[in-house]
Amino acid sequence: MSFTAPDARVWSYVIEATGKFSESGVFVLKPDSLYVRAIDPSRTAMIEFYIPKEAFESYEPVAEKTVYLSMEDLSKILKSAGRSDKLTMSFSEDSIRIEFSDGVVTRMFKIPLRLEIAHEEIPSLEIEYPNKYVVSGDVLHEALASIEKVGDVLKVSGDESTLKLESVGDLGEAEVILSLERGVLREADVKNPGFEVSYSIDYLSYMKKPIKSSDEVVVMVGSDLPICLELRFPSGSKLSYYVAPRTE
Amino acid sequence: MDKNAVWSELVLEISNCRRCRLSESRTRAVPGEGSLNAKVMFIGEAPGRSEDEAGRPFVGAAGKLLNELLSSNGMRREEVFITNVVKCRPPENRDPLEDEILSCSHFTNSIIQLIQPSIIVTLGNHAGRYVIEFLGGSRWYGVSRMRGNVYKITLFGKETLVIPTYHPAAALYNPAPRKALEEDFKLVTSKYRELTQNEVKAKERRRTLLDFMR
Repeated sequence: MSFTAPDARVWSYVIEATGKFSESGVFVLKPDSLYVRAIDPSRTAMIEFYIPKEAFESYEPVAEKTVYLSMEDLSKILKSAGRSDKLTMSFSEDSIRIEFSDGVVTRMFKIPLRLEIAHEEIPSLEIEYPNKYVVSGDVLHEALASIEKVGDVLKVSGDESTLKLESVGDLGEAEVILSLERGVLREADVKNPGFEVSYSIDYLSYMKKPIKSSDEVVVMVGSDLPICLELRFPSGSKLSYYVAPRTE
Repeated sequence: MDKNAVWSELVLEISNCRRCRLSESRTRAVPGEGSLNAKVMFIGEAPGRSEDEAGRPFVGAAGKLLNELLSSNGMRREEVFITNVVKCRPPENRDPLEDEILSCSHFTNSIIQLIQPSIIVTLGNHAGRYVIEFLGGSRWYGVSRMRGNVYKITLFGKETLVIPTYHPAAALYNPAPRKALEEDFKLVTSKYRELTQNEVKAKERRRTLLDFMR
């Protein structure tokens, strides 16, 4: 049972980001898709990385398989992924073989499956979001990188044409306004203008690298709701990242 | 080891203690009593005759006043913890001596570390001086000058509010300390409520994704 993904660097970013808030994650290999899910111990953040079969160069699961993995172990290996590397992961009963190949050199790693890794069922989140904004990964990455320098809390607010990200901290205040008029927002679908909600900025900062490598991000948000960042990748993969709101 | 087990060991150790001369004349040692999870701890001076006989703190006339002060401020004796800086009765109800307080400090400190109160109310000069000066490292200027204020002190790694006041025994027949004691108990209650409200707020802030899962 194995797969080859054309973009090892994206996998590296996603697993590294996941390892920052969760020790373990689950790989579910289905005949038509694969997804990776993880939730942090305090239940503040959850990630679901969905990759349809078509996004792989090759994908050969013979039956549905669920594998629990240490995100820390995996992250250490995936960090060595190069810009033009492909990633091949092969699953056996007791180990995983990981190969990076840029067409010239192939690097192979083998890690044992650790049966002692704590795992649990992760329930699904089904939230109907009243407000959705579409922005490029680069723009959102820049916005988060600016704001995280100032405070610990990210306040998100918006209306029909703007999405405002701001933070106040010891250093001062930071505010980034993404607007439809200036073309920074690609789309805005807002049913609850004037909403305002806050999140711990650390959890959003964890996701900066995957955000930067994505094509675009759908920011789904609403008063008193978790934020959902839906990252869309060129390959057709999709990453949904949820962070619980802070209530003041 | 859980708190109950640690407390039982401490009680046994205190009951068999021979660290100072007070053990020679006591009837029963008085370790203290109350909730092991109390947020408020009262530390008095020493057991009197009634306490020495009962093996419980504040059961005589001063204890009755303490109970009244607690209940009139909406607090129950069972929800706080009560102990003394010395656990055995000094003969003739004299003040505890410094070496006796220090001999007993091992137990006093162990009790504070076990309960980990957020507020300590010291009753009288000896308790106030021990907590503020000996444990907290700040100067003690006597109860009449120190009372009516809240002192933020780090005790065994935990930030603790210390509120010194008169010993209830001093207020039994004197109206001035009685009035001050009543005022100080109102201060204790207000800090206790503030603390409880902050904890509720902190809990509310910690929303998780489970709140949104089906």
